[in-house]
Amino acid sequence: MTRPLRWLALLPILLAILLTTSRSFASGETLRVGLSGTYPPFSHFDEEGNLAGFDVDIARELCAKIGRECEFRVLPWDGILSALLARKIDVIVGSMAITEEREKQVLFTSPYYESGAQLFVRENAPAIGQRGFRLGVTLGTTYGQIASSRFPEAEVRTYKGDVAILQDIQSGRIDGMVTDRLVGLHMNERYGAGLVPHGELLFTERMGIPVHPDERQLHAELDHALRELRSSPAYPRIRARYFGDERAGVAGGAGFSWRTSLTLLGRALLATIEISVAGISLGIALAVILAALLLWAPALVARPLAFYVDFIRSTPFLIQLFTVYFGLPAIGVTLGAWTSAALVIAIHSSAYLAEVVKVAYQSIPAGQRHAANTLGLTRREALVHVVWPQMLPLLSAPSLNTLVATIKDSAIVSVISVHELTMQAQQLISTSFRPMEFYLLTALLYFAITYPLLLLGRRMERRFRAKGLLHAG
Amino acid sequence: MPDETALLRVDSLTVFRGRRKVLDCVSLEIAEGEPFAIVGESGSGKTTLLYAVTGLLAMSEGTVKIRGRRVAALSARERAKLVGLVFQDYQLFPHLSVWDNVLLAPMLHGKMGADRLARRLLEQLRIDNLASRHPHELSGGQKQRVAIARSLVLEPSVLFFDEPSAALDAKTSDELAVLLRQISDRTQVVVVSHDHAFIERACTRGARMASGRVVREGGLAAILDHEPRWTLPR
Repeated sequence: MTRPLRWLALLPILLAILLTTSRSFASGETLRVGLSGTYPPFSHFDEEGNLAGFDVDIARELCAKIGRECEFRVLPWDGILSALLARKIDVIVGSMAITEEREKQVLFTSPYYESGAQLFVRENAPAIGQRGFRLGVTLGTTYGQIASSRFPEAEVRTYKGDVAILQDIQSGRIDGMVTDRLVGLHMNERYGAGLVPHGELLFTERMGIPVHPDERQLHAELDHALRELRSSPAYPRIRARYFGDERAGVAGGAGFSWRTSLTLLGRALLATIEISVAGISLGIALAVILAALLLWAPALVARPLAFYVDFIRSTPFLIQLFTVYFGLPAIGVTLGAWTSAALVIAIHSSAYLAEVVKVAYQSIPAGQRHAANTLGLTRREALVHVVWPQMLPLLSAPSLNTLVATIKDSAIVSVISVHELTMQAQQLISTSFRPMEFYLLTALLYFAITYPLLLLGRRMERRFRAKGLLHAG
Repeated sequence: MPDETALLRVDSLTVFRGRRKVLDCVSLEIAEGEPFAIVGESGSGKTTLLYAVTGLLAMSEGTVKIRGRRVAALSARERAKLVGLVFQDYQLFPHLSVWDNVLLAPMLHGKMGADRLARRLLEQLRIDNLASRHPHELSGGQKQRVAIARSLVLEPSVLFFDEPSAALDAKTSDELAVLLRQISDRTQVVVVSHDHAFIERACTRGARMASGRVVREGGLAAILDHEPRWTLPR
């Protein structure tokens, strides 16, 4: 009877099952190491898409010494301490400077290297004391405060990472940056950034490894291992691998390859599709339940639910994502990044779709239910065989539109370290420094999956219209 | 003394809509036989009576019995075996073919031999060539025949028609009147209508309603010739 449409009804349930059974992150004997992945040559992705850098090598040595396996988690720098405190990661080996303020929150090991903050300016930059001099720093670094206090005339802008700052310097949007001296010199060497070091070091920093304040045992183990490492021949060997002779700048990385880049983007595209489809499928299932409750539950339940739906629709997706990922651990619920992202996509989309489902139900004429009733169908039979099949055409287009919006918006979930298309593009740009090529390519990849979905939506709508199942637009 | 063997017996039926009494202590008996008409102007209560008898509307007081069984006490499934309804706008299921529209209910009920009966009904109603069509491909008259087949396949004792001639042209209306007489051997036809010309062709007896009450019963002459004074000239 309704066979051609029946699989559509099953789809969300199947995918919801898929979602709940896949991707459970277990932390056993692994050490979860957080770092930014956008801080070459300390942590970055090489042309194979693998994490590499000074910090990564140090972390691997330490893991070997304490007999655990490193599991790297790439996180945005401004959220990395929250992630540590929320126990999403065990340590940060990410060139974090030891400061008094941070020491109030976490336990630092002894320093594993010392460096210093340096002001770099572009060629032909305006004089530094002049008003309107624009300076870039990475959000959440110690450079922000020092830049403001040492260069009060300058306009200080904050960025997600050094690569983004460099892009703005190259395009002339800003005039200089404060970053680690080694990092700046490395960027000159690697990208021909043309940064000119200006003046003396602003201050020297000692980089340590923070652990959660309750992890005294781990802290002691790491501190011991680090002291051993610094006095072993391995340490100068690692240092030489990235910085060689410091005065001669930094050794260049491996070559760039379109082929591997495209493979990596393709894989990340699949991850984007996977998380969007899982999130939306669960979202549709949730929306149907929500709509049923909104329609039929007593006011005591329906009223608060209606408020909940409005609340979700009136708050930013990003805040919902942070609440689930960083907030829930505070009440003892710790979900992995992938699960958190899929769940928030589901919650967010369900609030929109619940309304669509409700309206679709209400748009089926009462006469249809009356007809089913006089033919002796029970309420359940009427819903399953008469009402629901007529609702499907009304749901298909909005669901597809929501899927398209979700695929595009899923770019946001990269901020909680979900490895998807946008994050992969940013990583490739941070190593290849080809923003134009990769951002355009990424846009095309998004288009390549969303456009067919839009066309499919239109085709389904035409088909349903031809069958007389859709009347009003 | 009321006749306990009457096919349909409505006893002191009262229905409120909000605070308004739309049916006021209606009693009516229909014995098996020729098509029966229920006539009356808009607002006379005839549609409410129809909805109450077919179980779509809760009754406040009184009883409706079909073949001696109280309709209000029956499940939808049992009620459908006793009484059916062909809606004014047919209410076919738009997502199903003609064949599936007719067979949905008997299939769900697990009714034996339903597809053989359905085939015979489609032939008798001359819509067997439309079995694989969908409702939006049919004319009004064709839709009505599908709705009739959909009800008859459950073999109800009584089949109500709500304003069956309202949307039909004169020719189709004539054909319908003939058809209703033909299917009278399968079920008791009850036509609710204010189309006197149609009633004259389709029915031989009936009742007239006004202001929520049955005001006349009997042959067509009794219910049609005396127009109430508030009726506009036709």
